Amino acid sequence: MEVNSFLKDCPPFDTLAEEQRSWAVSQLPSVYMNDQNCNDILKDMKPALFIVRSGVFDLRGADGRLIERLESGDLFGYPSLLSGREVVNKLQAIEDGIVYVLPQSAFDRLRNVSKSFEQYFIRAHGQRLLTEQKSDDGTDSDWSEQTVGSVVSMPPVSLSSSTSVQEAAKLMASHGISSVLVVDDTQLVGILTDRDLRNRVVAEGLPLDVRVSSVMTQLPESVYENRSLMDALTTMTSSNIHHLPVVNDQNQPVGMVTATDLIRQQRSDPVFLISAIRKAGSKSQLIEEAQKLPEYLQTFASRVKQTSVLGRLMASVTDGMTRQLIQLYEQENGAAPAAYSWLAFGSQGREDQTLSSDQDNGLLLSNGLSDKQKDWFAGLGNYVCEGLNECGIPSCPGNIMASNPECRGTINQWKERFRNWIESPTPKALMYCQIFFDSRPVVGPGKFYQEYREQIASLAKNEMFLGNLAILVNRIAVPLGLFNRLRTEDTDDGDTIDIKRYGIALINDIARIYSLQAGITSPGTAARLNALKGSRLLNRRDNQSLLEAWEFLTQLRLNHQLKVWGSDKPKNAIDPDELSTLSRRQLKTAFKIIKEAQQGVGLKFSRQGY
Amino acid sequence: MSQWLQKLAHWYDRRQKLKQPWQSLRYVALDIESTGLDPKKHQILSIAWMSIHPPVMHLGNAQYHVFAHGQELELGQSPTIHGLTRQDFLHSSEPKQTFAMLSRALNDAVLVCHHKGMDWRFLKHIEAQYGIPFKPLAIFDTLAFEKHKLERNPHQPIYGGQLALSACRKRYNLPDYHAHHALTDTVACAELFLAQCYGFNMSKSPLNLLIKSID
Repeated sequence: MEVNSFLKDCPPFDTLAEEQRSWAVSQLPSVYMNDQNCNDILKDMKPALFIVRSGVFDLRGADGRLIERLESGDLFGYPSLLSGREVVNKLQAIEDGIVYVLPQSAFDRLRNVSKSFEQYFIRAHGQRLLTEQKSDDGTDSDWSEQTVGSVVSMPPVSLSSSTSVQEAAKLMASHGISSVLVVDDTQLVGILTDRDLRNRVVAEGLPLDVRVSSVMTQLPESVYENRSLMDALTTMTSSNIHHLPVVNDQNQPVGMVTATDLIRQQRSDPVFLISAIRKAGSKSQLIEEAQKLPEYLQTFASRVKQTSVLGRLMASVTDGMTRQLIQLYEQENGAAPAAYSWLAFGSQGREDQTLSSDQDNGLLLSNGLSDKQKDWFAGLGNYVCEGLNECGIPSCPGNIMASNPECRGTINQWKERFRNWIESPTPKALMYCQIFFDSRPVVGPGKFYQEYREQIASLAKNEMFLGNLAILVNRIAVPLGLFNRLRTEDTDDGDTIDIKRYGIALINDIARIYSLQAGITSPGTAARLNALKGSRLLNRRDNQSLLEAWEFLTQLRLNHQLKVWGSDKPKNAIDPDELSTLSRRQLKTAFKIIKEAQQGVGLKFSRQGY
Repeated sequence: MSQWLQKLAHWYDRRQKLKQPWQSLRYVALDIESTGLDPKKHQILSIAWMSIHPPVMHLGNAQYHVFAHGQELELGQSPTIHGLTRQDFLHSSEPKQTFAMLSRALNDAVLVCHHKGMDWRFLKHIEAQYGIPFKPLAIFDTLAFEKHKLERNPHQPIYGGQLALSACRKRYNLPDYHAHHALTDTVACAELFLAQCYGFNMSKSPLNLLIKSID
């Protein structure tokens, strides 16, 4: 029957079992609402859940302020159902239509029999609609969300730093392990691997009684046991290591995860792709592996719940390609003549890369280089950028690439550039800041980069400059039209909304402004918002809302890209009519959050006070 | 004589009721799916009805019945007739009980249908066949109402299809339904009826005025 098939597509009724839904239909009067009768109906039938089948209605507060414009598939009336409070809102019919009415008793019964039904309204009531997960298909296959602690099978094998390397080798042999943790006073101080014994002891001809402390890797990368496997994977790939110590909250080692452990967890996963990229001995091999990326992502995406991890994964893969290309260049041209960092900017820097993201990179060089040394780095820039392009990461149309001399610079040169941009904020300078402040070192000593990053962070704490960025953010109008309707653009591909330009990019911009003000140097939007918790300027609730909106939009975009992959359809433009009712509701909520955040930034940073 | 008085009382009662504002009456929307147009030759496959207390339509109490006609009904090559499948005929209703129920529902109510000619012909046939009376207060024909409305514009000739249920609904911005299922068409007709009456610009006018505008 019509009503039943309508409810099947109308959240949260879509989560009900077939017989629960039929029962709901049997309890459902339907009314014809127009401007003359709508408020009488609201009064006579309350408390009830009203479901708009057709027509357009405006829900207004007691003060006449428009709360929401309701269209087919929209629900109203539940706040008073849940709270038992009087209905104070008024309705106005813009276009007559049919409205279904679920009485309180039926509503309560459905809440009792269906947890997902209950959950929906509790979330919606608390405006937490965006955090709704994809419907649970019963198979919790999201391995990347598993904690690291859950795959650590063996208790840690450890020794103290004063042990001799021979003792260490014996211990490793007796346990059949390729690495051992070095622990002094319950704290992790180092890690010793087979490779260290080979390269640093045997190859160097050191005596067997040399202490572990002099050959181990000090202060190794580690991962907290309660983090996800995805975090472990990202750490391993970004540091190019196979063994990762796992520590608890007190930084005491509880075990070790290896690349093999991760591979065992998920046989067909991108771990293989990343390790294949690392093993590629030539550019042609690398390109061949890189071509498998979209396919890997497709299969991977179908298994993970939170598609947003794909952004990090893509960045990891691009990092891997970059490192491999740098190694290949070094094989031909000798090692780097000076300390440097290969920088990832933009989406790769923020780790929210997508299948359509193009290159954004640059080089940070030591001060006082000779011309010859500069030539080596120029060659590196050309080689790597060209190589990435061949691997399927398109060249940047704006030429933000290390092959462009403007994107290579010594620490002093970069500082000078930032100083100029900040002091004379032309539109182009502001655009550069939006790109270059989101940076992350792909290769290069951590300390070298971090010092530079902190210096430019201190430059950014400039009121005028932040004010200008805030104005820029407010120039872009969120695609919510009158009465909170989604506003689409008429393009060749139909009526669509560019959710990157009008959504994700705006949240990135907003998070960046707050972070610059707070001196936060991490480039990722989620990481920035996390670091901003407790900020004076951005309260916890708005922070959380922004993060949820960002995650929702990122997920929506990736799902869309996976769907249109291989076609020439736009990669960031969404047709709202093709979305489910729930996603459409969530999209509106996300834009509402962004709009408020824009105004917040305007008020706090620019004196114009939008 | 007393029978004659009773008829007079009934007529008077009916006249009084029809003078009330149309919203205070009860209505029964109805749709019949049959194998053809002639009650003498064709059979009723399914029937659905639903009561309306304006502006409320009681979806939950809507009735839907399918009749089996033994071997005489051949579904032939097509697995469905008017959206009915063989499965539906396995759960068929007993005609006499069903029509008695409908008779009670129509008592003191206004019958609403889209193109009353056919549905009413079938009901009259049943009345004669089973001796079950159908005595609605009046009949509201949503098709006739729409036809009359369109005819008021003499420069715009009415062409075929313009009076089909779905076409009429479209003019009132009512949602698109899959037609030719008795229950769906009943709901569709009920919604159209309310849209027509509320759109008539006479919020408290009596029903006979509305009906008069048709006849």
